[in-house]
Formats: sequence, C-alpha cells, structure tokens
Amino acid sequence: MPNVMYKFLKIALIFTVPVVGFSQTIQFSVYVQDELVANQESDMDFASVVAGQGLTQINIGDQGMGVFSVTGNEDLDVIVTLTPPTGNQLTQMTETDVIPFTLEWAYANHGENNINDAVYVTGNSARFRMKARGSGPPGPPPNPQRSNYTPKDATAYIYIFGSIDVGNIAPGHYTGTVTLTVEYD
Amino acid sequence: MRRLLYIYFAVLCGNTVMGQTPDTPNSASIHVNVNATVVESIEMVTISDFNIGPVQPSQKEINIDPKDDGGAALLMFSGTPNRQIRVTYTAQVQMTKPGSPSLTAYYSLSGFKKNEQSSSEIFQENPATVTLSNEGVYYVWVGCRLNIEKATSGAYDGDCAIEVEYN
Repeated sequence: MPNVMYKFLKIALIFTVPVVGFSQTIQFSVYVQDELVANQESDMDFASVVAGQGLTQINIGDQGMGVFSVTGNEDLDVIVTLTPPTGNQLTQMTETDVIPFTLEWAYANHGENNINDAVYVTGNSARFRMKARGSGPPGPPPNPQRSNYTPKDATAYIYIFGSIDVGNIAPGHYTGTVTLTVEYD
Repeated sequence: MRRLLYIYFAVLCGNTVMGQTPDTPNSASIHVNVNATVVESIEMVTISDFNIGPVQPSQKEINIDPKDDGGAALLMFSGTPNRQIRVTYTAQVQMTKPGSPSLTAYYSLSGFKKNEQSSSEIFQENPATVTLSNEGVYYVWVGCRLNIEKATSGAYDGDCAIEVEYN
C-alpha cells in the first residue's frame, strides 16, 4: 500500500510542475499568413440594348468591361475562380424573360492595370503568380516565410467581359452577379 | 519520468500553437454586377417631306424655319416611353448637280413631345438629347436654309442624315 501512494505522488508532480514552468520558459513564434484583398474596380455594363438586338459583345478594353483587383504576396501563386450568374443568365426582378450571358475573362499580373498584359483564361479558374516573373531564366525561389520578413505585395487585375444575346424580351433592367474567389495555392 | 515530461511539453506546445492559428484571410471573395438595360427599338417615321413650293427666278434664298414654317419636314420617333434619346443630324450638306457649282444647305431641327410645331424647341446642340413622351413618341421638324443665288435650273441632290439612338 505505501508503494502505491508513492507512484501516485510522482504522477501528480509530472502534471503540475510543468504547467507552472511552461508559461515562463517556452517560447514560440507564429507566422501570420499573407492577406489577400480583393476589390471591385468597376461593374460590367452593357448599357442600353434594344430588344431583339441579338448578340452584343463587350471586348476586353471596351467601355463597360468589369474589373477586379486582387492584392497579395507577390511571390505566391493564387487560384482565381469566377462563378458566373446562375444559369449564365441576366434576369429582371419582375419579368420571367432572361438574357443569356457568356462570361470571358483575363488577368494581368505585371503589377499594373494594363490590358496589354492580359492573359486570357479558358474556363472558370486560373492559377498564376501574384506578380509575373520577368523574362529570362527563373529567379531564386521565394523568400521563406518567417516572422522577421515582410513580403512585398503586388496587385493583379481581373478583366471581365463577354457577350449577351438579347432576344425579343420585355424592356427593363437586367442584372446578374459574377463572383470572384481568390486563394493562395 | 523524463519521457513523460517531454510528451507533456509537446502536448502543451502543440495545443498552444494551434490555439493561435491566425485568422487573417488567405482567401477573398467579391462580386461584380453585370448590367444591361433593355429598351424597345426606336422607329423613325417620316410624316411629311419638305414642301418648298415654287421657287421664283429672282429668289436668292430658301429659308424654312423648322419651328414656324409649314414646309418643314416632319418626323416622328417612337420607342420606350420616357426614355432619353439622342438625335444626331448633318447640319451642313452640299447639294450637287452635274456641271454646276454646288450649293450648301444648312439644316436645323426643332422638336416636341406632341405634334405641335409651334410648341417645338430648336435644337441648340448636335447631337441633341431629348425625352420621349409618356406615349413613347417625339416629333421633329426639319428646316433648312439654302442660298440659291447661283443656282441654275434643274435638280440638286444632297442627303441630310438624321440618326436617333437611346441615350
């Protein structure tokens, strides 16, 4: 019986002594992940279209093109996903008529809002570096993430364009929403 | 005993770091709206052409005031009620006839929501922005001024283009 009591005391010490000492002696650091910020620069606007007009296109660089900007660590890759309006249609509040919408998009990751840098994307998702590397051989790998290093940010631009097919539908304001989701790869 | 302590420390450290996992977003989401305003088509109907009447040999100028002269041409635009439209026209047109010097015609327009010429207002700008009536119509009278002092007998041709579109 005394032997059993002795073992119990040892176990109790193991679980109490370290707790007191830990808060004063254990050090650790946490690396805070880079933040991604997305902004809407301008909506996409086909302005006035005439009922029955048919296919109406906004090309990249045209007035009415939609623009997003994404700011984040210039060294890192991001995955950008665009979700078109439900059913790829623009709708009106009070009418059942719809306008078929075809989404097209491109991104410019050279740090400037410049459509001449744009890379056209096929599909709804693309992966690219926040800031494109220049020409020539690949540079060194990105700086490792650590607490005493602040990475540079870069801004990439996403251009939204495409077409609508306007049939003989009721006049009014038709709208849809394109959602951009961006995350680090 | 020593091994137990290590394990205990490891558990404590692990829990602490996990508890401070940063909640700074490494993803973001945002929306952009796609808009289109659908309007009915605009129709342009010529209700009456110019009516210059006989030109006297001694006459030096033809002057048809769009606001007052019954000889002014009359057009009607129809479309979506209460919508703004933009009217663009050729203000100066060369009237030509083979073998003769050309003549210059100066066009002017006035407009109103009803077919009441005397209530119409001269367009001061080109293009002019006006608004269709509650019934979706707008009337435009077209006048012109033409110096015929050097004109010779025969037909002179020239086109005055009038364009209308939603603003």
